[in-house]
Amino acid sequence: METSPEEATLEQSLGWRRTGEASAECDQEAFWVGAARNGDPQAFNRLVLKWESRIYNLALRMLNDPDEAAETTQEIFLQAFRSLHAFQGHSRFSTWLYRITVNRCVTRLRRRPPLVQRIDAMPGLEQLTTDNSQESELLAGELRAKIRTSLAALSPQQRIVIELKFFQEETFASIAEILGLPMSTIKSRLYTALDLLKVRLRSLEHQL
Amino acid sequence: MKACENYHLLIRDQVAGELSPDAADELARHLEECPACHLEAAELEQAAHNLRRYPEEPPPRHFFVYEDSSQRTRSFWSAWSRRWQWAAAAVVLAAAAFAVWLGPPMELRFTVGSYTVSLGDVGHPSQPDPKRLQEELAAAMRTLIQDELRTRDALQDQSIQARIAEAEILRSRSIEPRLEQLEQRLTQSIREGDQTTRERLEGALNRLGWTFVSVHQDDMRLIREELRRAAELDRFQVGRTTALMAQVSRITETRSDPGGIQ
Repeated sequence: METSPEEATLEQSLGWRRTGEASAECDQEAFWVGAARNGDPQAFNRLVLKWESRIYNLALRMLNDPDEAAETTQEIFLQAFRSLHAFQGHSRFSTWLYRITVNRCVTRLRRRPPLVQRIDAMPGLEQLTTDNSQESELLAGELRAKIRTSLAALSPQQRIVIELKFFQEETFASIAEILGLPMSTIKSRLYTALDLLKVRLRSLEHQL
Repeated sequence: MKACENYHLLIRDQVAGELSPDAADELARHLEECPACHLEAAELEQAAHNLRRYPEEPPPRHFFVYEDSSQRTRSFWSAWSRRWQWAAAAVVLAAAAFAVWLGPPMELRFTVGSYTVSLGDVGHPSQPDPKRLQEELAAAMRTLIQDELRTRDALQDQSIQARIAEAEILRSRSIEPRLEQLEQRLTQSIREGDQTTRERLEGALNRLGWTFVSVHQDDMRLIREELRRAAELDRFQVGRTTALMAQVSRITETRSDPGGIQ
C-alpha cells in the first residue's frame, strides 16, 4: 500500500525504518549475522526466527516427513551457526542458508533405501492429526499432502529446482549460485519437472 | 513465424516468471493465434498456480541454538586454549602432588588462570595428607567451574537486559506516539467517511504492528524461552527471572501493544 508523503516524513522524523523495505531488512539481517559471528547465540536466534518456517517447510516438501523435516531443520541451523565464520557476506544470507539446506536434504534422501515410500506421503493421513471441526485446516492439510505427494514423484534434483523457483521465488541466477550449476541445467531440470507436475497436479483442480 | 516448439520454451520461461517484456509480447501474439500453445500455457500456469497455493505449515517448534550447542561452535584456537588450560592444570596438580608426596616437607603455590592453589604447609613439616590434597584439587576445580558459570549467567543477564531496554525505547519513543497519531487520524477518517485515507492509515498501522511483532515481540518470546530454561536449570538468583519476566510482560501486554492491531 502507498504511503503518503506526509506519513513518510513523519516516519522519517520518528527515526522509523520500515522493515517492509528490502534494504532495511538486509541491514538488520547483516547486523544479526555480524553479532552471531561474534558468538552471540541470541543474535543467531533472531535469524532462526526469521527463517525457520521457510526452512522447515522447504525440508518438509523435500523429505515429505514432518519428523525428519524438523530434525533436519535443527541440523541446518546448528550447522549454519557453527560455520557462520565461513560466511563472508559476498552472497545473500538466504543463498548461503539454502545451500546448506539443499545439501542436508540431499544427504538425507541419499541415505534412504530406494523405493521406500514415506507413510505420511499417503494423501489424507495428515488429516487425522487435525481438529475435525476446522474445515479450512482440513482442506489445507489435504492440499499440502497432495502437493507433497506430487513432489515426491520427482527426482531430488528436480524437486530442488521446483522448490527454489516456485516456493522460495528465487531467480534462475540465484538458483545457479545456490546449486553451483549452469543456468541451462537449472532450466532444463525445472521444465522437465514442471511437465511432470502438470499432469500430477491436474487432479487438484477437480478435487479442491 | 517460429515453430511451436520454440514458443514452448518461451511459455516455460513465462511460467517461471523470467520472460523479457519483448518476448512476452511476441508470445502473447502467438498464443492468440495458436490454440494448442494456448492450452499448453494454460495448463502449465495452472500447475505453477497449484504449487504456489501450498499453505505453509507452522513449524512444530522453534529451532533455536542454545549455549550448549554454541559451546561447540567456538573457534579452534579458543577451544584448544581452554582444553590446554585444563590439561595444564591437571598436569601441574599431579606433578605437585607427586613432588610433595616424595620430597621433603614444603609448601607449593601455583596459579591456574586467575586461581592460586597451595599444597603442603611449611608450618607443619609433615607429609601432606592425601585426603587434603584431593579436597584442595576438588575445590580448585569447583572454583574454576563456578566462575565459568557466573560469567555465562552474567553475560546472558546483560544480553536480556539490553534487548528489553531496546524494545522499551522503541515502544515508548517511536511506536506509541506514532500509533496514537495514526489512530486519531483513523478515527477521524472513519467519522468523515474518507475511505481512501482510512485504507492508507490502516495499512500504516498494520505495518507498524507487523514490524514490532516481527522484531521485538519475537525477541520477547525468545527471552521468555531463555528465562524458562534458566529457571529450569536454576541459573539466576531467586527473583531475577521473575523480575525480567515481568518486564517482558509489561512490554508485550499493554494496551498499545501494536500486535493487537491487525
